[in-house]
Amino acid sequence: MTYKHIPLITAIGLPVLFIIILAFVTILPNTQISPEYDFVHTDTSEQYNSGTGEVRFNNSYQVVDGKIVKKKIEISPALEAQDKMYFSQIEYKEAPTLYRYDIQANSSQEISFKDAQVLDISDTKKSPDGYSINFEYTNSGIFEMFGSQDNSGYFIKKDKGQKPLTGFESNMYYSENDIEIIGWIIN
Amino acid sequence: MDKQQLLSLIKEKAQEGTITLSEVKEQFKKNETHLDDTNADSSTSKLSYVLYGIGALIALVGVLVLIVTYWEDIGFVGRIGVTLGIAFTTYISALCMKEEHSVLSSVLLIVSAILAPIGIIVVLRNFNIEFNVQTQMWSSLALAIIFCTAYSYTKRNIAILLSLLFTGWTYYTLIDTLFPVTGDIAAWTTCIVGIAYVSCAYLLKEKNIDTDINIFNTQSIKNILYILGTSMTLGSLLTLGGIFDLIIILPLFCAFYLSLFIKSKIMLGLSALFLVIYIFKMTGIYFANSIGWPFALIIIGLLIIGIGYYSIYLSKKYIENKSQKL
Repeated sequence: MTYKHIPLITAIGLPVLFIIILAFVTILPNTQISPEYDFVHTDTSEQYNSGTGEVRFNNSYQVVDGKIVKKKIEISPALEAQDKMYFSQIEYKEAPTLYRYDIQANSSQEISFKDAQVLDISDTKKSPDGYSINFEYTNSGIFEMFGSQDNSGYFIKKDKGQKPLTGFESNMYYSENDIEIIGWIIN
Repeated sequence: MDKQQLLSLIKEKAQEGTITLSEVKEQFKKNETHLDDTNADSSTSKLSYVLYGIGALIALVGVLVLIVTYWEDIGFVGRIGVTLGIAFTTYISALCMKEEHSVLSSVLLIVSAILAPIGIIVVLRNFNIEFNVQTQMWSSLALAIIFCTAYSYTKRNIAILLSLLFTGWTYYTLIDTLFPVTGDIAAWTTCIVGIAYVSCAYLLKEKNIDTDINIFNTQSIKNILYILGTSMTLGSLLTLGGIFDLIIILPLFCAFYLSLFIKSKIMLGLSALFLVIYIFKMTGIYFANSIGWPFALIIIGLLIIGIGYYSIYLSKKYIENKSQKL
């Protein structure tokens, strides 16, 4: 092989090598992803989906001593006046719907508050096995020209590996604040 | 002394370094009356090429206006006819043309290459198939093969360029299909495609039949690929940021060296341009706030003058002199 072969090797070999490197960099870390802990979440878009107007909740959720409890939401007179100004009809509900995300099945199922109360919950940002959940936006650069695939969505991440959480209902999957994580289920 | 002996003598003197190409050309300029006929032919050819270009452009605009204005009225067959139909016809016509009509043949291949993807979109839409990354990948791969076939059959340089452009499109869509693409991967892919284009340009062999007046000669195609490749490579690296703001100096000077090695004035000019952009970028990020824009602009101005002077010096010393030696 002489230096005359270098352009040929570069023209063919470099693009192939790039695909191999990308495979190692992007796919290999993802094969190591195997989270164990399910989590409980709510659908924050629920307050806009009533069809009749705005929804207001009397309670929110929080974790106290490893258990999910309801916390009364105080609505200030100023907010109440503002609501009346902007919305013709306001529906009041007890609390947002709770969902349990089954990490093995990659699906989300509604659970009652009564069932949720018996669960042991950790409200730390990371799960006990070191995973966290983030919303990632697609930024495809020049690929947008080709109508790039929209890879935006929620991902469970650990170190450099990540796995998309595709089990949410479709209305929960469009923007960063559509779901609120209450905590990780320990038991 | 016959013609062959004279040519051998010129070759011998050129190898000794006694005469250069510019000196030989100078002798022709002094006897321009001998070239009158050739110049007349050349002017006619150039006029033909301009007319080919204008004709192709008008035809393309006509097709686009027809599609946009009468999309619903012309029906599926009509849409296919004005897109894929014309693409196919111009492709076949280009393949059938003889060597003396090489420019017209090249123009027809360009028309075909522009209309073919539009035709594919028309067909896919008719069958409710989205023109997404997967369909784009297979379409562009098919077109790359079709134009590669055109090259093997006609040896038209433009077919290589079109095939390479479709191959680049295939590569982008392949990466997008295989991996979750982020901004950085997009930049790196552009960089890789750019390097591949520069390599392909270097691999193109100039043919004996090429003439200076043929706008689709190998040198023109090489130059287009050098422009595309250099711009894509350096442009994408400039967008990376972070540690690459420092590392990019290396590829920039590699581009300078490569331009001298392959004797490409275009690549030398682009390298100088990207060095200027780099200086602007670095000044904006790191120095403008500390020394202020007015002072920064004075320094940038002086640096640009320096880069311009040094580029011309390199071009004269390593590109023009060497390429003029026979």
